[in-house]
Amino acid sequence: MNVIETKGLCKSFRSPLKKPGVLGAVRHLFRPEHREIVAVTEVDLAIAAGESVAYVGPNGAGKSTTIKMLTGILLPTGGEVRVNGLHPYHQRMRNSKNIGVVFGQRTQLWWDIPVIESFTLLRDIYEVPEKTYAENLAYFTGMLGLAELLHQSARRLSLGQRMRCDLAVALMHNPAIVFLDEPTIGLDVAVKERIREFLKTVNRERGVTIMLTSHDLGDIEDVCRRLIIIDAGRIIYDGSIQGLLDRYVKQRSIRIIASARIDQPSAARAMPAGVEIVHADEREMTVEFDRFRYTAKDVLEIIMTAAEVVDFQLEEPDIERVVKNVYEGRLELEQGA
Amino acid sequence: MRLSRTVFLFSRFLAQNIKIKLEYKADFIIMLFSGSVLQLLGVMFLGVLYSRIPPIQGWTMWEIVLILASIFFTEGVVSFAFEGMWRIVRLINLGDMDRFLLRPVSPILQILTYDIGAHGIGNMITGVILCVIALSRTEILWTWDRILYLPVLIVSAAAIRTAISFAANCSGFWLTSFYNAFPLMVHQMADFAKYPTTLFTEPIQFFITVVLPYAFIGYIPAVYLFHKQPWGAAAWLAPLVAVWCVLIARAVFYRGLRRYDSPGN
Amino acid sequence: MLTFQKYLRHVLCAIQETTAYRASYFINIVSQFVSYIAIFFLWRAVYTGNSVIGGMDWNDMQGYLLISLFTSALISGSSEFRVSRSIWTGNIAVELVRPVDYQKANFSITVGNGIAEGVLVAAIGILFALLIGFAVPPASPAAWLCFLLAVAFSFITKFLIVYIFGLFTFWTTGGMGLSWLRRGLTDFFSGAIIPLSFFPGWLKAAADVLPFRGIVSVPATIFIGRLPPSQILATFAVEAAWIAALWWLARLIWHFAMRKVTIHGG
Ligand SMILES: Nc1ncnc2c1ncn2[C@@H]1O[C@H](COP(=O)(O)OP(=O)(O)OP(=O)(O)O)[C@@H](O)[C@H]1O
Ligand SMILES: [Mg+2]
Repeated sequence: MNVIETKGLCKSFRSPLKKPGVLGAVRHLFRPEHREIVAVTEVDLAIAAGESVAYVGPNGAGKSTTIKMLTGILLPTGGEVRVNGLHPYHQRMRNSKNIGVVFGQRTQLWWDIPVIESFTLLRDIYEVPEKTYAENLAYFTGMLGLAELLHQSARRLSLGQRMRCDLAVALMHNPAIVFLDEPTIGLDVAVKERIREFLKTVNRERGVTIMLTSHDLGDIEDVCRRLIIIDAGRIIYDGSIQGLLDRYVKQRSIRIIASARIDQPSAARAMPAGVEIVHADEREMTVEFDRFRYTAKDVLEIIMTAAEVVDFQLEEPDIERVVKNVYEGRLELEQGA
Repeated sequence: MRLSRTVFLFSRFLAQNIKIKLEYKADFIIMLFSGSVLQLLGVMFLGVLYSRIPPIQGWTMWEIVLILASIFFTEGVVSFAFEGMWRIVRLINLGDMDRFLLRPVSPILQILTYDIGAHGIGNMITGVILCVIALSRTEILWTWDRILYLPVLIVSAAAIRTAISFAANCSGFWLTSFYNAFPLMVHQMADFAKYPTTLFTEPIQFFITVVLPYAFIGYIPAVYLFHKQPWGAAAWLAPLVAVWCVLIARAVFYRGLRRYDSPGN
Repeated sequence: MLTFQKYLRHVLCAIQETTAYRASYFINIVSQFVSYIAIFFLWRAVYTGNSVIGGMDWNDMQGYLLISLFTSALISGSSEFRVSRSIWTGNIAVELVRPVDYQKANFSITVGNGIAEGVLVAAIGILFALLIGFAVPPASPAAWLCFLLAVAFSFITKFLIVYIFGLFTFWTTGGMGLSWLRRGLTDFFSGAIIPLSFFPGWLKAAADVLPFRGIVSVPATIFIGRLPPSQILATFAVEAAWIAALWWLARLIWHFAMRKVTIHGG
């Protein structure tokens, strides 16, 4: 069963167009001009219960806008949308009981009161039964290490501490789906690790569907099995992470260190088509090659004809590079790969 | 939403707000003080005015003070309980409305209770004191229906004021500038209710009886209580007017919400 | 020279910002008029049956109210709001690292705002005055000069009061209570809604020593010719003294506010 389903989902914003300077301002006063910003267009999603989906794309691609439409904050300008069978905007209050939401830059907590009071207030808002609340509180406190934070006011928490509390808030009422918009933004490695672990556990043990946006591809590889890439408001890839790698990562690279100075021109001449030196130093060199045409061993042998290799390092195909290529427009993805 | 649940959540939010306010003691005291001073200035204005002239259109100073005092009182109740509506523009501009939309509670309730106005307490206190003084200096023939009318008046007047100011603040959905004078202007139009409506020209009379029915929170009830006109019983329309205003305000809010574009993030 | 340009830039930016949201701009201006409508009718009712009250006839009163409206429009609610906005949004940190004097910068912004809104209000006001057909503008160029000077004093005084109240936002959570208190005090003691000459003796004595009267009463009475010329110079001297005092008071409060921000972290 699909818990999230959209068909041709669109959202555009109208924003005023102003000319610079005082004159421009005065002109706008009497003859305003607007321009249409298409944030999301023709987005089709079908996400089943229990999935963990990464929703990625460059800045301004339309990720947050999509999440806001799925959570009932924004009214779509076109298309159909169903979350747990409900329309998130028109049936907002019912929908909100089924979902948990975390926005990396916002907090659900009340600024001036101790965290635990925010929790109990939210318990009342979501009508969480006392027993469920107590269980969840104990569970989250353990997993996220909230014990020392509960009695401080949110104002005094660091970003990472606050985010851990916000995660607990988002899941306190046992939602079927959680939406996370850049939950790890600005966090240190240890906290990121902890949050990823938490999300994986919740997804596995409780079957919570996860939809996550992030610019940290580590989050994505670690937590999610499915990847959806959006660019300029359109979905350009939807499939498994492995599938993307198999299909689009043609390049691997080897970095070597030589015992003597490398003769660059002759090294360059030694490389056949499909093998390319991308970085070279006195005694160091990085070579990129087409992994469907050459094995690492082939390439290493070729390099050894040109340099005295003492050490080497093989870099695995990684999603980071694919996504970077896609963002920079160097790689065109085909839908449904 | 069920009424009992609304009341329960309202009291929870209110209690939470009071706790927060008490953390900022200086703020609390300043607000309380400014509420009272403001009302006293209003009365001094009348005092100065009446010291120079005979009763205006048959209304004595203390009769007008009574109208004023009852307006202060409802204003105090409204700003104490529902101050949050004055934060709508801020909530919209900073994208903080998001949070309210994500919870299974009416966003209207959450907005209204987003803040409390400590100055409301000052208003209520001065309102009551002035009422007592004014009542001792005026003649009201208390019949049973007039006594019964008082609670009806307080509830209806508070609802009318809340609804009008709330709807006016919803203009923030359309006027996205950080400073929006519109709600304040609408709020200030309640000034018209502080004086006998007959002072004003007909279009204005029509306006404050029908368009923004502020006349129902001050002048019309006063006409009824003081037996000034035979049509005074029209004051009993106040609850109906209140319901009408609340419905309109609700509709305006949901219209506006469609325009909310959740900036930031 | 560069310093001057820096502040001029603030003025221009403020004009742009004020007019940036057009519906709000027009509404802000209209709202200036609305609260005066109630007052206008109240006075009209008071004047039916009384030809002269407190030394003023109905014609004087209209001129007085018009100037009251004009001076209050020069620093409107939006200027006031702008002063405290950066404090409650926490943007103050950004402003503090800039090499500008916060007080002067705010003054420049208020000037820009005043230009953007005041011009239109004055235009509408003059049109309105011509329409209802009363004519009591100052007769002599000297009187006009005094009037313009009084308006300048009014502007600076009001700015300083607004600014000082704005600074109190550092100690509060940015509610509207403080700004309402400010408005109530200035409206009452400046004579914006009821001329000071109506006040009973003790109250008038109080109003006369307070700085507020420079905001409305002085320019308005000069405009309608009710301030005896012999008193004008002395009045201006008192106003100038108040401006100097308030300017330094604001600096002092700023100093304490900064201590609060930098030591206690806001
Ligand atoms: N309230 C708004 N008004 C006007 N345009 C908007 C608004 N919100 C978003 N946009 C525009 O819509 C587009 C998509 O924005 P969105 O916030 O969804 O991007 P995003 O994918 O979340 O980017 P990021 O990675 O930077 O968070 C952008 O071009 C943005 O400028
Ligand atoms: Mg985003």
